[in-house]
Amino acid sequence: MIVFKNYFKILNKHKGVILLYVGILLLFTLFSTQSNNNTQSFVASKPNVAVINNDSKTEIVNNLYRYLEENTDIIDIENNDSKLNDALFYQEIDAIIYIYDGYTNDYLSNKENNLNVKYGNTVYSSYVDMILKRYFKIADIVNDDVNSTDDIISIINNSLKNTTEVEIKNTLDVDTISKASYFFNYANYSILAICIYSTAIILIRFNNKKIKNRNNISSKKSSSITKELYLGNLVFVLFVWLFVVALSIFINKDIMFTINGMLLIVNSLVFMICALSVGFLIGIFFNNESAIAAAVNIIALGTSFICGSFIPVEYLPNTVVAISKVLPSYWFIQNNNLIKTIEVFNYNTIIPLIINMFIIIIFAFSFFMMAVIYNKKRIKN
Amino acid sequence: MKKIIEIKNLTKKYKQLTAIDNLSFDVYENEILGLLGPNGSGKSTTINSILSLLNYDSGSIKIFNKEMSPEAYDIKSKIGVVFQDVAVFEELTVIENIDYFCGLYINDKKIRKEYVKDAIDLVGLNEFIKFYPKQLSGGLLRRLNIACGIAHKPKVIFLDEPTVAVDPQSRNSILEGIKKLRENGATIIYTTHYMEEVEIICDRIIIIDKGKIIAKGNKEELKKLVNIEEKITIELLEKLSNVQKEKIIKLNHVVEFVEAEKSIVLTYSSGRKNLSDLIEFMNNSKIKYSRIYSELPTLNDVFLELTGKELRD
Amino acid sequence: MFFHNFKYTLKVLLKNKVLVFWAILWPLILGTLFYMAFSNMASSEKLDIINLGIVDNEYYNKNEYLKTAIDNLSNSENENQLFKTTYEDQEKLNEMLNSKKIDGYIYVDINEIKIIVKESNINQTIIKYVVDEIEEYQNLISDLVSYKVKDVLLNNEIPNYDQIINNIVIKINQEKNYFNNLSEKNMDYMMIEYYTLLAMACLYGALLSSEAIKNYLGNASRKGSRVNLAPIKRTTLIMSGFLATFIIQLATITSLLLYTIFMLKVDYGNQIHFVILLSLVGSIAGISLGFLVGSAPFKSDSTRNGIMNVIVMLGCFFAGMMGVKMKYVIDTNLPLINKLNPSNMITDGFYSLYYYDNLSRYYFNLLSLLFLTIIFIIISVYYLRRKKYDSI
Repeated sequence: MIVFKNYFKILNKHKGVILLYVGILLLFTLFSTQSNNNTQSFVASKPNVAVINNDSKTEIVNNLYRYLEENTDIIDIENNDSKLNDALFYQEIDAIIYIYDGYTNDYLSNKENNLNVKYGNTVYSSYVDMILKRYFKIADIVNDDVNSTDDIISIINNSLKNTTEVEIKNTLDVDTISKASYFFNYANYSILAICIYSTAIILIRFNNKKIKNRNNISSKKSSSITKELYLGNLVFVLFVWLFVVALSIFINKDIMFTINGMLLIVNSLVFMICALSVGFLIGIFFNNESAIAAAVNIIALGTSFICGSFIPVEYLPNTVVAISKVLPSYWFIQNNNLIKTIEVFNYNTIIPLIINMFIIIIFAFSFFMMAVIYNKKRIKN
Repeated sequence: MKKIIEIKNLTKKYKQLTAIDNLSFDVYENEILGLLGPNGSGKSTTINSILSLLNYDSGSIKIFNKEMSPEAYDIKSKIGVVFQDVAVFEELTVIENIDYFCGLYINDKKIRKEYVKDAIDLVGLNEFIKFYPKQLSGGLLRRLNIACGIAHKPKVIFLDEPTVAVDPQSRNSILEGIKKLRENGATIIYTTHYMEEVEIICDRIIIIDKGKIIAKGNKEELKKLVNIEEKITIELLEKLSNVQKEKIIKLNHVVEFVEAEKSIVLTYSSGRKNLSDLIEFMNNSKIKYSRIYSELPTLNDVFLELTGKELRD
Repeated sequence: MFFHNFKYTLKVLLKNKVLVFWAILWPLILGTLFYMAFSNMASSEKLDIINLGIVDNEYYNKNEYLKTAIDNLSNSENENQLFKTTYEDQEKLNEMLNSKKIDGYIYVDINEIKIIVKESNINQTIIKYVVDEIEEYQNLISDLVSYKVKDVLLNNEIPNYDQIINNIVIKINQEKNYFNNLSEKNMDYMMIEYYTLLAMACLYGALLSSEAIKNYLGNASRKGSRVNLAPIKRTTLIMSGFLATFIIQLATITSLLLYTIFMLKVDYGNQIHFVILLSLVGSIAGISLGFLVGSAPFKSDSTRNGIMNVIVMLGCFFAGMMGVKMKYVIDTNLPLINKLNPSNMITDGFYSLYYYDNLSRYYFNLLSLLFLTIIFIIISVYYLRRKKYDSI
């Protein structure tokens, strides 16, 4: 088992890079747990706004505040132009509402009283627009006919009472299973990076001409050298897989032991094997470390960007999605997304998963074959 | 003879370690001076100090009668250096590498072209001028390394172990080249720990150990420093008894007796008929042996005698 | 000599595949990836049309007000179309909800309106909002009418119900601006990604210049020792090396700018001369960083590369390359880090050109970058002046 042992000795020399990828995995894990904490009961998503009040704290202003507090999250930001604008640009807030000095007076005396509003560039910005329009429209109508401040406020508030009942129909713990599936989507980068790097780097070491010749003249059969090499690789990749699975259980707890969770785990194993085959191809194709570093970055980062790992598939342009279908990562991520929606397990819901996994395996097989054929050709030359 | 380089009381310390200890020597015009010493003896440090690459603690270095310094461009233009490590650009071909380094000295393109060609001829790389360093074997790479250092036809050439790990064919070609350079008028300072090379090409030899000169002179002078006349090795077919050993040690002129597993080495002071006396003794004592042979002292023995250690350790 | 060294430095750098990949090709590749991934993000920030289901029963069809409102919002000719509506029975709608064909559905009962959803995201929130709004106006009308009627009765007049209601309904249906929208035009958050990319490309000039400078220094490489022994002034070597790296950088940045502007449709605002100025200063900052790292007495090349990568890539991370929000988080919570971070100076400079009208923030970034460059150069000069070393 000398080759097998040597495999891990060489790997140990490159542990810095591998640890870096593990670090990135942990970072992504943090990201994946940061998604919204929705619960089973219906909570309307609230946009974030900043309110700059230059008027005094009048009843009218306070009532506007009360309404905003109910329908939005008011974020406290220092009243400083560039800080407010930055917050708007970087989507920390979705809108800024400026209440000018003398607004209450203008309003009560039926003068022109339009407030200044700045919107950000988010879905929620349009929603803030709707929320504000609703309040000001009612305030405007009420103001025409009603005189006392108290009456104005009570009629506005009475109109704005929300009563519609919302029922959530769900048997599945969507939130946690989504988190788990995000975790595996993000893991696309690290799985590819670690598997390709470790496999390829070892391969170029052993394929180095001098070492190869030395191995060839040794009493060990070259087939047994190759076997031990593959074994080492397989053991390492399984170890990485176990690490990823352990991490997913640590983060997502019980949900990983449901059928959905198990399917996510199986799916990652299938993808891991495919990543291994990519590593083989890269290791045989290139013959130096810096080329491998470049290839790892392009493949891991590239697929993560265009196959829906970093950015959900629904946000990607159709042409990009079409392109990404020729990459195994797409099918891996597609499966993760599918698994999180399955509630009932029967032939109809399972078969698409199996087809996707089969596609990944075909990819893996063809990468292995390409590696083998290229290698044979190279030896001939 | 004209002094080209004068070194007086050169001392260089690395923290507690004294790498060069009060070294003084001269180099004369058109000679090949061998600086001989084991690894870590201070040869490279000495060369780097002379070239003003290293700071040194005290002493003076004059080349062409002028103080050497990093700004002494007139001196630098007459010096060529070949370092122990190959120092060429991987990204440039053989001819581009030589042209680059030569171009740092020679501005005129026409002259440079000639010089580059001469250098290629001298080291015998004609067939490889379009090759990249990666495509060259170790020996060819060394030759390129030398060509880069001497293409500008310097008056003084420093060669710091240019033949380390080189195949015999390349080594011969390199040594031939060095001889040619001297014939063309260059003065050469040659450091090595290969004894044979020094014996072949050097006019004068300085032996350095632990930063000190322990001997200098031509090879005959050096060999005389040693107290030994010859060494006789016996390859034995059986073990010697203690009595036999003592008898051997008591033979005439034997100064040292070293026993290995299946052989013994006897060192003799001066004396005639040492070998025949020994053979006679062996036959009389009926000790079985396969071979007996005698060697005259080499510089290695000189070194061993002076420092108590082997050169190639 | 100047030209000789310039020519060969150019050749050596451009033939170094690793350098060419990371310093020249990588920014282009990364930009393309950004483009593929983000090009849809800005448009998906707008509200999509929501797939709404409605249980087609008699109560719904009787609720005139709700029906008209929904019809209006589902009209595909309406510019503000919000819903794409499907009318089905409840069973079918449940099925559609499960397969995510609709975001939710409305069920009108004898005395209440119910919304059935599967998750609570923005689309569901908006469905609820619309139904709420319809109920609100009914509340408003009844409140106002009773108020008015009270008023009229107090004056001993006979209220005209129809007229009162009509007046209110007219107001409700009236379109009117209730506030002034002062939103900025350039709000595309994803632009920051491309700005960090340009920052990375500028600062990766350090890879080129550190490689070049190593070849001139006696202690950095054996080639350097050899070059050092030639009768050439070090300033000549360094200036020609600087020119060579600067020209490569110029070509890289120019092609990256052209590529991002014309192929990737990146918006740098409309003051292109300031964009060019910042790119040039950024490139010089990168080159001077390389001079510093290349001339400092580090033990090995991997230490040197490590330091440059940490400064540039960690800097880009803080400037928002791996998530734009990171820049905001650092800017607001640990402002000092980004004030000292050259990647952020460049990114923030482009951002202020794109988003802000006045140039004070741009100048602040530009001057910070120049200041940092000068510090880099001063330290490099300190190291570069040394010609004899304690050890090689």
